[in-house]
Amino acid sequence: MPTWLFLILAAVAVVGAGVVVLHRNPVKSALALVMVMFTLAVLYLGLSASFLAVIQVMVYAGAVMVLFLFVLFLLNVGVESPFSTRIARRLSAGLVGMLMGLTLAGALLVRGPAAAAASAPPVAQDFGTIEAVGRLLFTRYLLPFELLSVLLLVAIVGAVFASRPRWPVPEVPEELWPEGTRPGGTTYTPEGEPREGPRTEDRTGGDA
Amino acid sequence: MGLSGYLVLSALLFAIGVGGVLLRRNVVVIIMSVELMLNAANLALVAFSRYLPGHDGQVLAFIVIAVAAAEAAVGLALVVQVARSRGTVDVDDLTLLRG
Repeated sequence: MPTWLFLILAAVAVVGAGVVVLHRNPVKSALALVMVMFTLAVLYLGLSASFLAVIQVMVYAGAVMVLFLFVLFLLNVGVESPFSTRIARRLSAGLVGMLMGLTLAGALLVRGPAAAAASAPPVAQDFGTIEAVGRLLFTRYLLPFELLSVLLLVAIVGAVFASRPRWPVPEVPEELWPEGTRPGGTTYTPEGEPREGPRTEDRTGGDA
Repeated sequence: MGLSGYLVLSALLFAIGVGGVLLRRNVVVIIMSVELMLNAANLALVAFSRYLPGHDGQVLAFIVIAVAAAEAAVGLALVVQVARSRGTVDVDDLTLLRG
């Protein structure tokens, strides 16, 4: 990858990351994050990691960002005062960010010149293709790969369980209730919130 | 472009992500900043994978992408539940667990 192209992409990525952190509107933060993801995908292409570039666009810019935007639209979040009002939090954020940036930049400046001068070693034609990565993934890294599938299953079950609709329970007209099953003391408002009575028994609608 | 250029960019993105996690109030933007940090780490992994060279870094980056997707799904489901029950996603207002 030529240096000028890298510099342009790096500038776009840093500006996009800054917009993610600094913009008042969370939806625009999400869109700036999409821009950073695409920039990183192009950088992966320049590093001859073509399979990972495709995965980056599909998983991050596709699935994860759609999830973020859905949640943002679902929550209908406001645009005011994005930063913490606690002065201690703001100071610690600035301090930690600056220290971390200085540490990383210092480490790179001490060790960097040799690495900067070195050009990338030549690689085979199929470096970074899905065949080459997949061969390693299914031999040496087979156990982490299989554990990853278990992790994804757990995440699916956890996400579904955490976001299951608990309320309102299905409305049943009072005259259809069998004798003696009416929960004593619980009054159902039109919004479906119980005013009194045990919540733990009623809110799951009896499916727990 | 040498290896250190990619590493400097990765460090910059990571530091910006840390700043976002510490600075922002909206939980969704905080999770976005975490994703930014994971992506910065991925960039370093892929850069090392190219310059060493070897595919191990790319496999690790692949695993990181999958873990990040799972983290985002579970985290956002929890955020939705918190917003439903507490009515806010502002971390300054979610002080139930403060000692």
